[in-house]
Amino acid sequence: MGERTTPIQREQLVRRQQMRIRTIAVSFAAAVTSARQDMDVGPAERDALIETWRSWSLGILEGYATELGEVPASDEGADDDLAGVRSALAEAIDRVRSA
Amino acid sequence: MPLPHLMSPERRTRIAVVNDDPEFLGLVEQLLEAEGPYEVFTFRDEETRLGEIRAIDPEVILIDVLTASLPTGWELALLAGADDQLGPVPVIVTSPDVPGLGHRVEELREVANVRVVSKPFTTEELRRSVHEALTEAGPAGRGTPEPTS
Repeated sequence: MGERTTPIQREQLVRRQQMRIRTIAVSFAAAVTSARQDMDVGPAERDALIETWRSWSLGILEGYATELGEVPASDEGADDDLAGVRSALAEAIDRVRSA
Repeated sequence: MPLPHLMSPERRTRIAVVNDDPEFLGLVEQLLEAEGPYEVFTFRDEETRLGEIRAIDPEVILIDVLTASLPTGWELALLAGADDQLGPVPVIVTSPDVPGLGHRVEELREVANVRVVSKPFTTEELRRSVHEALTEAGPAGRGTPEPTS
């Protein structure tokens, strides 16, 4: 990163980042649902596991946010694309924090 | 033994994904189909029969196992491992309770080529696991496609 991106590169980057963000949010939510409904552990152990996963997931998402901050805008459309990724990232962080 | 028409050059690598969460199934399908020449077939846990998986003749089976005390995904993984056709097919178990699976993973390893992906996971972790499973499977896996990124 740090170099000017072409529209195609930017589109690939946006798609890739959206998928990475969604993967963390969905797999975290699935793990939490499993822990609450099916996992054969006590409440304290279950809550500790969930907090471990939450901390890990937020750390990954914050890493993606840092990467995103390093992407330079190439034209007017870039701002819209990156805004969409930032919005997805914010939603994923909210989802992980509140699950 | 796969049918000849399933060995055509046009055939993409088939991955069977078994999970009871529609959102999770949708994610894995989209993720893997974007990553390489993969054709993903999804199955809901409670509806899945071994014959349905056998019918698509997959190169990899990805099964969600919630916990060792719940039979559905676990039994399916064991049955697939012991099956004449599906036995050589690598199995990827996704679970939030990897420590809780404990010795049962070893039990599964006795009948199947199995690897475990802990939930939650990153796209890179899942992609790497699928690629490694296909690479290790070698000719039995009928090809080792490289991810597109």
